[in-house]
Amino acid sequence: MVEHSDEYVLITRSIDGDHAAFAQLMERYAGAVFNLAYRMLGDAHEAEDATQEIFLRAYTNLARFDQERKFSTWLLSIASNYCIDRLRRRRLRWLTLDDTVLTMPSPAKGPDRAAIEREERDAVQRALLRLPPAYRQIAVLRYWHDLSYEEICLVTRLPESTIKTRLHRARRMLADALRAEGVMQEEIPLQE
Amino acid sequence: MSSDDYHHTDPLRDMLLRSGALKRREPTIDLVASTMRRLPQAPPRVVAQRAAARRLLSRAVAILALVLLIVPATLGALNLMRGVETPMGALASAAGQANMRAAILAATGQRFDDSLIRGLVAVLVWLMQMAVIVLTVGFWPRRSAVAGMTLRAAPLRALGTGVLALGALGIVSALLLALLTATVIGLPIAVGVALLAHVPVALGIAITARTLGWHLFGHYTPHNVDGRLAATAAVLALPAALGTLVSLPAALLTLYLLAVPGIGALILSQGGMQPVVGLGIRG
Repeated sequence: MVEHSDEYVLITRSIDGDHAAFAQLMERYAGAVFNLAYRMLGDAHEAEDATQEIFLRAYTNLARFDQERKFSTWLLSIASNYCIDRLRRRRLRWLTLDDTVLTMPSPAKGPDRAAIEREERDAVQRALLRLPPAYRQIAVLRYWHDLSYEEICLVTRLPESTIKTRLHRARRMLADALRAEGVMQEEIPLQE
Repeated sequence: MSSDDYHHTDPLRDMLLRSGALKRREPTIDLVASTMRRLPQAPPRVVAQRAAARRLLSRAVAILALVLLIVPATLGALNLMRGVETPMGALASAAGQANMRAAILAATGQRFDDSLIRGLVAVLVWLMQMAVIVLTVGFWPRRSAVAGMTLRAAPLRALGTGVLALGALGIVSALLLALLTATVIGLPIAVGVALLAHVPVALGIAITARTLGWHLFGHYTPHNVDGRLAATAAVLALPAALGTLVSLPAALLTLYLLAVPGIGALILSQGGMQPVVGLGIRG
């Protein structure tokens, strides 16, 4: 908490009901929480709704926040659990023809580099969404949030051995899915 | 957010970086402003205390409901095992079984012989069904749509599941009612159980109506209660309403038959959470 003393002040003020302080905390972490939700849920609008719910949960539980912990880790822990819960509850998808067309990989790549990149980004997102939620969670925290094993353990409350196993499997599944999307041709060595 | 030293040794990460997939995505709305609007006014500690109180209250209500069900049912079972005279038995012997049956038949017969009363009951049943359908679809538009999609995708499976579920519900309700009506304190609870047992029937009819609406109008509206749904509800509510003109059991039987496919679809779609999607189910 020493390095984040202003954050400590904001948290303390938020616990006392200072909305402006909580708004500042949200400004800092809204992007990270939204991106985690987007990678986990695969839909921007749903991720926005989830982000709001996650911050509401964080506010409700703020009084119980152990200030010896990092706020970002605690917040990502709430976000990650919320997304898993939401995926468990949701498990429905509106499979209309339009959706199917939108999510089908396009056979022809445009000449424009930006278009190719966008296509690859979409393909990666589709590949990520093929992973089971528990594996997707670890992959997102590792690759998109750049967390160490130790931090992932704190966020997920899982032992390091489980994290390593899940990450190993997630990488393999992600690589397979990316090959199926046609984004990646080469074999990826799976040891890390 | 720190990381292990893996950046130079992970080809998957390199590939993700190359593709630009690791770039941050920006939300389309101002998340902070939107969340602030929804933030409770009270400080977090008070909000947490209120949430804990609500949880406690809902648990207490659940436990109370279980106790209210289990205690009279157990007492009723003991009464039946010991051969103690039950309230219904006492009533029957006081009136004389034959007399009582005749009295009930006469009373219901008299009431239903009156064509005005019959007509009014029929209209009431018709309106109640329509209200149930519109309210169910209005409150759970997405879930009812998902269950409706399931019914269209797998009608026979839904029908089979509905028959089995309604059969099981009937057996359990009958057993429970037999136990509850064996004690005096169980009688009001028995009324509540009988009403609750009809909640799935009401939901099932709403799902059937929604599906029939799509079928009749060929129009797929996942979220709206519109005129077409109201028209379908009016049509679907007719048979049971007309059934009341014949007899109350006939009306109930019609209701159950109409609800069966909807109940099955609700179960198959896990309460409208997971659709069973088949070919041809789209806009």
